[in-house]
Amino acid sequence: MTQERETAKKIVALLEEGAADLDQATLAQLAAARGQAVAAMSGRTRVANAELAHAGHEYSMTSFLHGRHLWLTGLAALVILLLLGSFVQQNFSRQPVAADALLLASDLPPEAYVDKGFDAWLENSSQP
Amino acid sequence: MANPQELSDFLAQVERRAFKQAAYAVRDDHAALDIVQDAMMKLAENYSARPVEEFPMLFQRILQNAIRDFFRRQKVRNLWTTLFSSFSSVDEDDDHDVLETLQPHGDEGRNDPSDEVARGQTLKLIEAALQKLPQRQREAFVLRYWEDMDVAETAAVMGCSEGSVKTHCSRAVHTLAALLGKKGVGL
Repeated sequence: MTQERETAKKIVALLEEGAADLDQATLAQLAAARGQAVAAMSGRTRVANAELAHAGHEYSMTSFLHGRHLWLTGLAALVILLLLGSFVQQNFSRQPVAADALLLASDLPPEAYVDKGFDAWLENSSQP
Repeated sequence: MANPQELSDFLAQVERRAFKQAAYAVRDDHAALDIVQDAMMKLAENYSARPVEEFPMLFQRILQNAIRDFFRRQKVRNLWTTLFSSFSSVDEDDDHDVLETLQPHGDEGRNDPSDEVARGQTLKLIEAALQKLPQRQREAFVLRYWEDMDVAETAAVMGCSEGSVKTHCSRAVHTLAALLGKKGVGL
């Protein structure tokens, strides 16, 4: 194992020399590739930061809209309740007034409507 | 998270070895440059959020995958080439031995450290021998001994067991020693 490692180390030492002796054209191309990779990383970092800032802005806008939305919903619910209340009040308050007017304007006295035999008489008298 | 300067420093530190590794594997400097560039971009685009300490392992993994992808594409291309060229005669010798084209230097050259030419010749012999290794053996040898990774790290990058790494490394060193020995290069 030690012998094997020694042999490997000697081979690697020579390989290192070879790697250190690369021609200028290859070195330039490697440097250009490295520059592109670093630029890509810098670009990604910038994009990531911009996305983060945008996300923060969106979050604050969402929070704002969410708060506004709650306000608008509450206001709409209040308006609907008011309209409903107004409608109920108008309809149910008018019905007794209309009934009272009908009774008072009728030829029959109001007691006639509460008489149990009145309905039977009305039915018999309306038959041909 | 690493910053662009740390990435630049890391890449400057590994780019030459990465290029050589790719060149030994694909035996084509232009393809090797493309592979290294691809690996650099993938590291920057996909793993820039990782800490710089993880870069060596990640980069090696990306590089090895890029080399495998190259061979996969080559295989498909070769299939089409074979189909279309089956009607023409083939003059190329696929069993061409790279080592045969290199002349070993004499003992006197090897013992003289100032002899740059002799050292260059030895290096070429070693590089040629490395290229002749099976892919997995070369991967294991380069990662374990050149990149100085431990057995577990090498196994993680190669996607195999630690036992396999040891076997590949052992076979690689013995094969290299034998190939170089045949050419008169003693280590």
